Amino acid sequence: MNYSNMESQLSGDYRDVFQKVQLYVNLSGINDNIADEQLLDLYDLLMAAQSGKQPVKKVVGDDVEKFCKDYFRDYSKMDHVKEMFRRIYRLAICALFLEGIFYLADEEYALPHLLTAKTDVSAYLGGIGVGILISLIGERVLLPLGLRRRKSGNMLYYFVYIVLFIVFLTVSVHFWDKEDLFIPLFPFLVVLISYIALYLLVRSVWRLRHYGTLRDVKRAELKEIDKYYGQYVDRDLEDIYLKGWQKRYRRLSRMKGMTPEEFYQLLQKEEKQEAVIERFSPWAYVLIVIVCTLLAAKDSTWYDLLILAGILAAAEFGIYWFFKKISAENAKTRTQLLEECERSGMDILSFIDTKRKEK
Amino acid sequence: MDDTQLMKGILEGCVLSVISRQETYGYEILSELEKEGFTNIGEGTLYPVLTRLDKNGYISCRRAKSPLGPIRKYYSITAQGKQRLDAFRENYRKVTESADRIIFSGDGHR
Repeated sequence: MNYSNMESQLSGDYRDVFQKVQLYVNLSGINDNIADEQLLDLYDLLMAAQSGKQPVKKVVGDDVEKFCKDYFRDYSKMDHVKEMFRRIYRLAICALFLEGIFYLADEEYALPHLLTAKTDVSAYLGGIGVGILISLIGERVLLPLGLRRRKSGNMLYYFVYIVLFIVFLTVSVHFWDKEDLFIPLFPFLVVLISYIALYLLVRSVWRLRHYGTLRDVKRAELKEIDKYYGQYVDRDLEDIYLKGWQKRYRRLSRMKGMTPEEFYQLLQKEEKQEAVIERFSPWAYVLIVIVCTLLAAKDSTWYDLLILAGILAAAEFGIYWFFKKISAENAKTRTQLLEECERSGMDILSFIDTKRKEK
Repeated sequence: MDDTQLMKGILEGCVLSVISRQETYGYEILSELEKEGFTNIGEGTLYPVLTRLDKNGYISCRRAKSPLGPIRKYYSITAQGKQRLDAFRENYRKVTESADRIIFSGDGHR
């Protein structure tokens, strides 16, 4: 769920409270679906209170920490247990994936060796230990500090959380590296696959009983709501561009004596350049994969190269998709604004002033 | 004497009564309760009550866009909820009648 869009619609104490509740959700390990639904409801309440100029205390009371505990009171022990099983399921998939990679990358790779090979589980145990430790620190130390802070964002606490995670993980890897704990690989993989299969089976049965479908209906519903919010706060993205253009024009007219007409043409030219970059950017990512694979080619076997190319392609695709999503939203907003300006017949400055007054 | 426990005992019935008047939403319920003198009831107290009422089938909820833009949950009472409310009102009447006789009698001691 895209909370930053919602946050931008709240101001002052309302935004502060909304951020603190998000911090509570993230550091207390509350299930995503439950958290999303309750944060949506809270957001509606805060918007109504803000619109009615009611104090935020009317919604959350004097103590935000107590509010969070009450608000998520119905998040029962069973919900915690379900969340734990879900996390173990995700860990099992990561472990299976990593073991697959390590095994395939092994110089002695051969399927018959699967039955006699051993795997070092030190890193997995270290990772689990670090995960538990960092969860406790997040919930018992960082969260109370974050909820009691004066107005400031959550970034500092997330940053400390991530730094602590990296430090502990590094220490654990160094420590566990000396403690070789080998177990037979084949049974280890069987346990992982069995857990994944069992979890998927139980989840499918539960969904069929509750929703009559195997789809995660709650997640689908919330994704639809998220798309709606994306549209709803396009207005805010518009304002960001309009404000930015206003500032930019003032600077350019002061430094270069630019007229509104020249500024409008500059914006249109930049739009065309953006479209060209957008068309060619996928090829840049493909080129990176090819070049890195070729550079590694002379010292690697063909299957190592395949694995490397696969990992690079997946990583590059992820980065490309992430930036494309952001740039597509930005491009759509910019294009719509420029088209609206052209249809209105106003010069760009008058158009910006008029649009901003409407908000 | 802490009135919190007293409040907790009747809050569910009061919320159900507010919802029975018309389809409504969280902030409106809070405002109605505040208007009738229930101050210091925040969303943290209200939300679990609404969740319980929903789970027990006394209210139903639907999501729709609000005039402000956010998606909002609108609550309405079910047939089962109306029966529950009638039962609550009867019990409340009996309890308060008896309590009134004891608390407000001229001679409050045996």
